[in-house]
Amino acid sequence: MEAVVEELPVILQAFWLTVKLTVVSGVISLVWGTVLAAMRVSPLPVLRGAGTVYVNILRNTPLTLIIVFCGLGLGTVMNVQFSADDLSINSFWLSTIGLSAYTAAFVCEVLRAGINTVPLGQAEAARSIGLTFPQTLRLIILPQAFRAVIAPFGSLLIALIKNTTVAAAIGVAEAALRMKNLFDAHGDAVIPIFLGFAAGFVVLTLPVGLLFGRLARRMAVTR
Amino acid sequence: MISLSGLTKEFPGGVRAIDSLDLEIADGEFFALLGPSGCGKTTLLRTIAGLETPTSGNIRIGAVDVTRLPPGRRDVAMVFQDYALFPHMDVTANIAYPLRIKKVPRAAREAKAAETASRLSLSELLGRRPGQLSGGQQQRVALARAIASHPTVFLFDEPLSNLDARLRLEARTFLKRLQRELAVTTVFVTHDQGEALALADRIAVMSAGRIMQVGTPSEVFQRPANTFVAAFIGSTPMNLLPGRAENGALHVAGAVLPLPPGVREGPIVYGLRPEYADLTQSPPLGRNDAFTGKVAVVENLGTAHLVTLESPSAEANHLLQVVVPEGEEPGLGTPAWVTPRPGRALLYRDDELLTSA
Repeated sequence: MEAVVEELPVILQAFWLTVKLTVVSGVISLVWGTVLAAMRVSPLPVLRGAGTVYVNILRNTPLTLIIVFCGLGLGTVMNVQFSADDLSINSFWLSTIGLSAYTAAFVCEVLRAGINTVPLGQAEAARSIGLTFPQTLRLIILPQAFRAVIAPFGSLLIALIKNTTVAAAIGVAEAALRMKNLFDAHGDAVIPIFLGFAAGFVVLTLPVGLLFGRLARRMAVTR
Repeated sequence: MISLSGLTKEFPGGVRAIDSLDLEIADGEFFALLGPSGCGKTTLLRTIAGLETPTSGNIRIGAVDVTRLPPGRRDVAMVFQDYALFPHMDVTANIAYPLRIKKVPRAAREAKAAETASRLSLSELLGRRPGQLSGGQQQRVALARAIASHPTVFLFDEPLSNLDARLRLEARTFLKRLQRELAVTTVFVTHDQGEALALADRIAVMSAGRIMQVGTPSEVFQRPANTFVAAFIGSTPMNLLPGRAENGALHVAGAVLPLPPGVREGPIVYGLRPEYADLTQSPPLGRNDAFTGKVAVVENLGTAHLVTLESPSAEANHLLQVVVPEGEEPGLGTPAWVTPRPGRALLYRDDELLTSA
């Protein structure tokens, strides 16, 4: 136990990075996933096709592969850099790209399910009032679709929080990497350190589930 | 005025929902598109609204050819069967939404929404969401949304079908009065002939993408142009019996009836509404122009009874239905005679109305 107390600043720092990864890639994947969903329901076959291909590739590739590709492929081979001297900034943003690209595919599919809960008549009513397709989507369909999928979005966010640990593969000093480092430093306190990190994740994920469950009930669309 | 010329809508797969249809609807008219399901009436309404693109033909509203215009630029307002209110907006926002799209300033559109709402007695409900309203209230909000945008044409898709039976009658009267007051050209779709007869100034009866007859409710009811319309209109279906014009008389289901002048000899279909005949339980004195048969079924209609006679006619076993006033219903299995009222029967040949008899 002393090891956990002693290393608390390191653990907190590690989780702070986990939170940053989650928030940044959460926001990016929400935006990008919405764009993908819009593409997949659009009347243009080219956009629909592109959206489908993207989702099927990203959704069916292991996250570790995607993150490693971002780190090695984008970072090392293609030399995509976000900071000239700070390696940790580079790996942070490269893993964010990977996490966002991957999570966006799931956001897109969840949102598309939400769009399917909105009756066809809504789009027709909007169209007969004079809304264009983008307006119909933005003002009528998406507001209802989002409300329908708040709870599944909560699950996605929980998955994202845990998925950030994969960023350890390219050296982002988030919780999983720090935990491994602490195991090396405190060989006698593996179990307490492990429990400490596990508790840290529960502290992050449990409230998300509760909050989204409550939000889903409050915001539900009654027809 | 709405005028449709040569309008055809073919769906992929070759289904012709509308088949080269011509129709003119006058300004201010309350016009019904009536027919069984699958007859193309809803497709026709949606094509006028612009939600479907016709395969060929033209739609004109007033002087404008709107055939290729998007729905929002046709100056029509549609009320959907399930109302399609926006559940994430309150009543005010729902009513004012078309005005918002037309870029009417906020204050003006909210004033308009409040005014329209008070006309439809919705003032108390302005802050509610559609999910918190009853079916009748939702329908009035849908109407208010259509009215507030001041269109030249209203299009109603089965406006009363989502209401329960009692409310439907109330809403029907309300709708008719509202249309009179607003005097806006209104086209509505219904499969309920009673609704069409009660509401419309004129009715187009449709079948298989074509118009079978256009006329006022009394024209369509009293002189159906063909046997399809004859069978479709009327709360109790018209008796349509095969017969022959021979030797200066009509031979129908065992009865010999006088032949109206100008009818050539040959096969005919004899149409008689159950309401336009009298049932007696003894043979009518001094006449031979009555149908006879045995009482097979008696159905209670409330203020009257619908009696089905099995006629013992040699060719085919014909059924004949008659409406009998309350208290005069015959016993099951007893013999009865049915005398058609003069001039109320209709004669059809080759599915076209010849004359009344």
